[in-house]
Amino acid sequence: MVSLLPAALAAGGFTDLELGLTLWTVVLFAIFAFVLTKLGWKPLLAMIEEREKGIHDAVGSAQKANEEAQRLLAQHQELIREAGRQREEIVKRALADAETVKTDLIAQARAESDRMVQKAKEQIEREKKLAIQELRSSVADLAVEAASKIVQSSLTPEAQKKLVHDFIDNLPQARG
Amino acid sequence: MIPWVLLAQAVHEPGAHEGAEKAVEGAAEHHEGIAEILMHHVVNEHYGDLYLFGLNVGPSKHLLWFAIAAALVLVVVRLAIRSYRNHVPSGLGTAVETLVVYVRDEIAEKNIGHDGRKYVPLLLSFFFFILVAALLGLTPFSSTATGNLSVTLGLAFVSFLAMQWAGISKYGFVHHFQNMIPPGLPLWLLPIMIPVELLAMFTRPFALMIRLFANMLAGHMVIASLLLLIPLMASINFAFGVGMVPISLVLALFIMMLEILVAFIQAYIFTLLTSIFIGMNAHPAH
Repeated sequence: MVSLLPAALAAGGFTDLELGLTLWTVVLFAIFAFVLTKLGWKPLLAMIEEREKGIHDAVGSAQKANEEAQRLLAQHQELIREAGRQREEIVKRALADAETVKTDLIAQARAESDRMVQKAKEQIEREKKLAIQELRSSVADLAVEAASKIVQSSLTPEAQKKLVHDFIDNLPQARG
Repeated sequence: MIPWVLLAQAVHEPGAHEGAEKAVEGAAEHHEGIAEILMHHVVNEHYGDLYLFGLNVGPSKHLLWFAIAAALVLVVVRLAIRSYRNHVPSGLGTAVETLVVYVRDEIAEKNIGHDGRKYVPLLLSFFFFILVAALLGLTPFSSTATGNLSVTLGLAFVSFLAMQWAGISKYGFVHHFQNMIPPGLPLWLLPIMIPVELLAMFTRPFALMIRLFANMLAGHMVIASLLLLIPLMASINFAFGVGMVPISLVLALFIMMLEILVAFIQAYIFTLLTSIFIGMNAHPAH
């Protein structure tokens, strides 16, 4: 058993260097690495990188699309809020307008009615004055006629006229 | 991976069923045979000799399996690329991509920084080669090229070149070596620091070389040893040998499973340390 290792080493062991094989190794490995780089690693890495770039781009554009959608959503929400505000404003303004119109109309109607009442009063006054005037002259005539009938015989026309005029003057003055 | 023919010979070698006195001698003989089998399993084997500048560059077992592993990586990666439909992989491509992305993001990016991108192909080549070579070594009738010190020396040398290149390409040749001395160091420390830093420069790839080699070798040695326990026990007593069969198989299977894990770990460690050392040279003022 003891002889195993020394015998093995003596037999031309595995630690012997064969520089010829080393030379082969360097040359073959250099060729191998060169050919493999050209035919293998370059196209393989290019494909991997292209795919990674594709994924990266896809993620990037998805993110961008998401941001765009978010922006649009915010914009739309703002628009909706704005529309709501505008609607409220419009309603408020309409209500205010209606209120003014209402008060205007009421004031107008009141003024109109006042004016009409005034006009009616004035007309009544005018009619009254006219009637009083008419009445006065009729009363005078009647009085003259009545008096003339009563005092036809006893009075001269002058005395008669004086009497009448006194009578009329003593009548109460027409109002207004 | 185990030379089963030799294993069978070891079991049937005469002397196994003879008397108790002879059994001891037989066992002693067996030890030689078992050691040879063990060595045959892990040591390189030349198929022919060809000398270039005094170096034997003739075809050998580990060179063959090095080339097979490299070719297999190429095939696997090409198949992975073919599985892509519309930039999305399926099947094998998914597995390869997971490892590729891991090496790119967790190893290169984290340890070298953003300019680590240009080292990713090299790091991936290291990772996949070491991984495939180790897994390939677990399949029957194969051999692990990275279980050979000469091969790991070559890989560590490439790693060493990458480390130095990271500094030299960024700061220039002179400035790169000046970077090794921390700023604000008292002058009288220089005679100590310069040798220490120079040593560190070479011990890093040296450690890579030994670590990968030892890990690849150890698993195979353990599995082979466990299986060779069967003829060893049988050489003492046939019943012992039979009794050893289930124990050896279960233990060997367990180590095999462990070796799959080790294949991934060693590929990861080699790649990780290479990228850490590249990062240290690319960003020296830490």
